[in-house]
Amino acid sequence: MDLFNLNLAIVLFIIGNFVGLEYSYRRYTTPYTEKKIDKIALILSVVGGLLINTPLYVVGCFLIGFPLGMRPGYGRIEFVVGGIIALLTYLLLNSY
Amino acid sequence: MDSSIINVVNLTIHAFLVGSLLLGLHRKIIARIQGRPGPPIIQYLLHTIKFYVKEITFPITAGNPLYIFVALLDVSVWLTALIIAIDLKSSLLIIIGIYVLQKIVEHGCGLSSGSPYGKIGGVRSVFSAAAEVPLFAVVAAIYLTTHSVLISDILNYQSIHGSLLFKMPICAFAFFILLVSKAPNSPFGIVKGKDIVSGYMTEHYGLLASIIYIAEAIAYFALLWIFIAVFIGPWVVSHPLITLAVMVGLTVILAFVNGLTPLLAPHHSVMLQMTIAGLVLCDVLYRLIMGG
Repeated sequence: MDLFNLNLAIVLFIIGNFVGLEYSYRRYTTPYTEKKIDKIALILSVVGGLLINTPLYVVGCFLIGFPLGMRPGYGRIEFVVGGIIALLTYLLLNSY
Repeated sequence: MDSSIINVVNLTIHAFLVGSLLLGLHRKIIARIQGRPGPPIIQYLLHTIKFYVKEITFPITAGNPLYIFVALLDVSVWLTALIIAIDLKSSLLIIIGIYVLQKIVEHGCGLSSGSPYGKIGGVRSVFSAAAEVPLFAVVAAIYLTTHSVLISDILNYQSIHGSLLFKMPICAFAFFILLVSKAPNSPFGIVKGKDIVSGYMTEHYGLLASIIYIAEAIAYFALLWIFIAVFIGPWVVSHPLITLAVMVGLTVILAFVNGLTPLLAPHHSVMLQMTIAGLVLCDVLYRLIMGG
């Protein structure tokens, strides 16, 4: 991957973070939550984890940035799930 | 790397974005160590943008020409370091010269505002020049081993003889301490210690603070890159994605070091850095006697 494409992916990742932050502040009013999963963030994170290993990695970066950017105390489990899926997909694709 | 204008702009944007995200990650990890949720990792970037669009203010005690000039000098200093180190892969001695210029920025930044906190921060930046002594010694040891101070030659040496991290662990440790002292919330961070509010940055606000934040993000990226290039090797820095992964790993280590250590008193900080410099000088003497 060259520097320009990497920059593009980083910019999309940052925009994903911004969107996630804005979404979570609009949706949740309490400052912290435990054992509660946001379904939209989880779906986006899983799709992002899958796409990050394909030629559509830029979109994957945007989607996986969404749960990571959510307000403090939210989106942690969703991001970890997406990250694990991205890692497993990478290992599966590179094992053959 | 082809050093065309487009590539340099590309590299600058990359350094700023990655540096900002890594500093945000650093802050997030420290918050988690302290049992807080912590801000999102784009917080550093948000701060930079927020200050960029805020009204610029000048304290009545400020010496205005210097007050503005130091912020611009800060960003110029680190852009130069970025181009010389990463784009041109030039001399480590120039990088040291640039790092010394950073001290002038910190000193000028603190003194120009007229604030007592800024002044103490500026004075402490002179004390913390002790951090440069190990850097000089590290370059001397690298020269004795690789017979060059050019980053391109050091990379070539490592591609033939292997990583310098295992050949020069003491020098790598000394350079790592430099990274620790440059990272936020460092035990050596006496220049911007919380006991003096924000040290030399206390009175800089609005656009000027934003410019200094941009410079710090680029500085963090440049220093991490130099450490990786000089001590880990060309197989990492030749791939931007692997470089990014190693930088994330180093940031996690730095965050743990800084999150788990208290801020040292100024004299303890200087004493410890001089002790590390002494260790590296012993290493240099050993290499001189043993012939490299």
